Amino acid sequence: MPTERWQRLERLFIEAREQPPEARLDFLRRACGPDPTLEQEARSLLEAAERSGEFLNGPALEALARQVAVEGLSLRPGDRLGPYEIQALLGVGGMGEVYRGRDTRLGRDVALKVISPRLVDEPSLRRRFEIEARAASALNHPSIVTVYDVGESGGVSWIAMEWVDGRTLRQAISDGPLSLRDTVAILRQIAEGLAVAHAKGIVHRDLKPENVMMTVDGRAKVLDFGLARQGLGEAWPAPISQIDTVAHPSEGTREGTILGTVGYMSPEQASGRAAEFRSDQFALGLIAYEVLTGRRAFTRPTAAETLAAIIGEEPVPLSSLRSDVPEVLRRLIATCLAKQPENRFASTRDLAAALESLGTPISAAEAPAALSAAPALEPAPPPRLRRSRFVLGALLAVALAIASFVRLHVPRHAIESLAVLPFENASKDPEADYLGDGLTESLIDQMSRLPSLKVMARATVFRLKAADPQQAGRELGVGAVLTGTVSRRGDRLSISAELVEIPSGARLWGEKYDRPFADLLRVQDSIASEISDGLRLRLSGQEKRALGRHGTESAEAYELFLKARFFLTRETEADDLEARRLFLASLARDPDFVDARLGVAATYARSAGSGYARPANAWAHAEEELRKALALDPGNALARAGLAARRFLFEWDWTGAEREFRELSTDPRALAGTQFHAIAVFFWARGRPEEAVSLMERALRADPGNLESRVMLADFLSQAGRLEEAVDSYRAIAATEPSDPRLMFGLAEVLKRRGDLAGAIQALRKAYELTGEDQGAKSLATARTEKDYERAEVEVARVRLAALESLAQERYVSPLDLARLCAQAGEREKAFASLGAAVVERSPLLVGLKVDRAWDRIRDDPRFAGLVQRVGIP
Amino acid sequence: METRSLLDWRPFAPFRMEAPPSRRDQGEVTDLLRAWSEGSPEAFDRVMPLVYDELHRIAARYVAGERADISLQATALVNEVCVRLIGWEPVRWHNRGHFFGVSAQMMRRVLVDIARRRRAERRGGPAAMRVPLDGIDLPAGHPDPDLAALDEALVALAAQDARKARVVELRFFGGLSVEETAEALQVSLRTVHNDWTFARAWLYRALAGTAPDAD
Repeated sequence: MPTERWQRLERLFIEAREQPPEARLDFLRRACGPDPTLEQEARSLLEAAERSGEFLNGPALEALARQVAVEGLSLRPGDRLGPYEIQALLGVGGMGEVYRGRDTRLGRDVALKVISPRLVDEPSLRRRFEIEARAASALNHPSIVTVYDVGESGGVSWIAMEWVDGRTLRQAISDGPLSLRDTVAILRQIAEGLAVAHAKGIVHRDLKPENVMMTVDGRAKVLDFGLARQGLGEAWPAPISQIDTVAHPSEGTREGTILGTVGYMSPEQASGRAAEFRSDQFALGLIAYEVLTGRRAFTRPTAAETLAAIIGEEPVPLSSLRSDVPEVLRRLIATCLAKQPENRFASTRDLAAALESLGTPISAAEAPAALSAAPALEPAPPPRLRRSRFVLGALLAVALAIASFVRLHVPRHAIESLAVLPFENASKDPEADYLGDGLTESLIDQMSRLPSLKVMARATVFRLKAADPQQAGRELGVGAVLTGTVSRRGDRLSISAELVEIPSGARLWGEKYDRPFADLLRVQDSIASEISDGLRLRLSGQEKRALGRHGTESAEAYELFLKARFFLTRETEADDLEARRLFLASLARDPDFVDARLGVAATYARSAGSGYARPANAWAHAEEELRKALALDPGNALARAGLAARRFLFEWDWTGAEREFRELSTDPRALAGTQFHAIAVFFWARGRPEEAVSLMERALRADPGNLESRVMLADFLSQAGRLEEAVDSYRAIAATEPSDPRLMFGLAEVLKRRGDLAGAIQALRKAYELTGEDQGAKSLATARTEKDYERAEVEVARVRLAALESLAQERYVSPLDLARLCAQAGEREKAFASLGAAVVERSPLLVGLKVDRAWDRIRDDPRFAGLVQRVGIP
Repeated sequence: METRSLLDWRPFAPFRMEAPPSRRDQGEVTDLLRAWSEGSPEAFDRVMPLVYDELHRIAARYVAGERADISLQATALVNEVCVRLIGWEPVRWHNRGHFFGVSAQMMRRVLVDIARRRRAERRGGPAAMRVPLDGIDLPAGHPDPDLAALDEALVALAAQDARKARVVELRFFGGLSVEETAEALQVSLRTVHNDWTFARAWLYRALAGTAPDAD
């Protein structure tokens, strides 16, 4: 407890602060009277408050980050280094730092490598640094990052080089292997750069994915030419343009760094001999292998073992890791990876030419049909041939390449069904999760618009997150699966997607997209249409339009929508509210965005259905949004299903709802399957479980994995008296959803009705364990008879009721929820009182009065029949 | 307790987009959080690297001249910690106040620990060579407090007035707004505001080293 004096001090301080500044001291003098210590104390606090400025404003994490940022750097933004003005730090490595700078004379951006002062003290190193850098500055090729200038100022040595807007190849492949076409293009560009350097007698010596920059428009540029000798190039931080991955010297992963470098050494380097230009070819072969397969050709737990493998072992055959790599490319890579330099390409120019012949962009559509039947696996010419002879070989290679690329695009069988597996979030940023989910959903939506293609629905595929694509595809029985990753770094978005044929596992199509974030919509469109091309769907103009249709043109609105939808899939009231806030924010950007309107409506309908909000209010809002959505998109199936649901859940207009549902269930546009739930509930409430069962079976055909559908089917089977099937269903779902208590509740009831009391007790006990209702579980532990079973049920209902009643002191709770628990707890009078209130506000669950077993204990009451009549259940 | 969990199934129909993911029992979560805030070494070891990474990421963005949204990071980070470590999302819990309280405590422990280690390193290690600096473009204003010293001052403040120390913990270490702090402590906005103003002045004076003994 604060002392009295402390409290007095606080009051004085607060009151003084409320005075105008000039009156504060006088105030203190008067208020403190004969207590000069207190006055002095209060005054010093007031002064501290005035001086404190931004003290503690802003979170501690930020304050500490700022301290970390300022300390330990050689340079800061605004510093000058020769003609360059430092703008920002890009990375820190063992050798020094890399900054983004600006050449004030030429007005261009540069990347500045600054050698660490402690290394500058070693003259030999420093001289070599300069010699190498100057040699590299003689190189000028689009595939080489140009060195502009080398110098020293204020005791700091630096290299100024071309500023490349992009990321490293290492980062580019961190999302997974690249497509064949991209790989060939990248390899060709690197080889061209190498060829130019080799012609001038300059060897890179440390080529690796970290040293290849990928520009925003997809060009490869080799970095750090000639810096590798004596390890000078190696200790630079890998990412030159990506700030995300700044490495700190204090936490540098030494072992990893060594291993990384060792992994790209040639056998001659590994055995201590000098590197030569063909060592760079070997490194290029390693890069090709890694880019295509996602794994390094030689990686062992320790550096020594890795070196031994480079010298003496063959890598795992490429063909066993990836089936779509054409024979020519495999041979080319194998040649690069020859253990003896003499067995590699005689000149790097040859290597570049071979790659060029491979990479000629020929689309499947342009390729003459006859070629696709050409024998594909004629042995390619030995690539070590002299250049003149190689040209001939190259011609043959072109033909083979066409054949391979054609095969690449043509699935063996026509593909009629597709599962879009959830795109994984490849960045660390959990914020990007919604992007992956959103992209997946959008692709499902878009692909579903194609009548010739059956697309697995969302709930089915989302249950397969992180599943093995081929296995998932086989389980779903589809002809192909689409998988991919998405990541967001600042304002850039990278997406990679791959289409795999099932069951062959052949890669039909693959593409990477690295775009400004604002392009999200366009990327989705282009992925969707490229996939359909990959599937060789002959799209009519109208179908193409269907694919490209979006609810909004505003990237901002769309992003907010995706975030909102993410929250809508969650469960709590807070999630619903957050979803609504985001949907509304999305609509503020684009009021015509139909899907966002439906989203707002969904949040209101959910809050009514879940007992979080008064139904009249919630339904009024929901209806308004649904009508607006229909005005924007007449005939929208989801909007119609929503309005029809409102009709029987709120207006108790059973006839009108049935008419609307009948129309909907025959509407071919209604693809999603979720509206079946509303219709099934309608039949459930009317006591026509067989119809509800068949609707759920239909919903499950469209969307086999949908948990909600499966649980509802089991419930309806139980209601229909198909007890054995219900038991099987509950058990089957429980096998994959062991923590979902609904299944055990359902199972317990069916087992009890079937006469298996011991089984029922066991299931109910399990259910209470899952919900954490220990009391119920405990009393069931010794239960033997039906009476024991029911006693436990009543006990639990009482506990729940007490909890809900106490919650009702603080906030709105649905009177129907109260009534239901009262009925289960045997509180007949209270149950009817609450039911009265529920009828007044038209709680949605009243529609279940006739069939919901929760009412069984009060069903015999004459008042009950009156209620059923009020609700008008036919 | 949530009303939804009180019922076995809800025929909530047309808008159910996905099945509810199975969730952890709230009691279990509460226990875990308590263990963390009370200093379970295991929890600490798991949280530390996440915070450390994030710290350096923000630091790098600072130097790169990007400052947007950094203030959001503290709570987002704690959120991520929870999701990653126990597969549970604070946003799904209706007692957010409790969560915020615990997470702020956790952030305090971790950040102060980092600050202490850094201080020890600076004292022990060789002085870094520095290029003379002019025209620093980092945010102007008052130097940031030494978190280790601040932590000690907070302990002293808590001895006088525990609630004020909590307010600082929630706002400064937990990154909470005044409203969230009020929610977490179940006090009025005005109380939070007064506590904050007073505590800030008191701590500033304590760290400036000019404080006469306050009692």
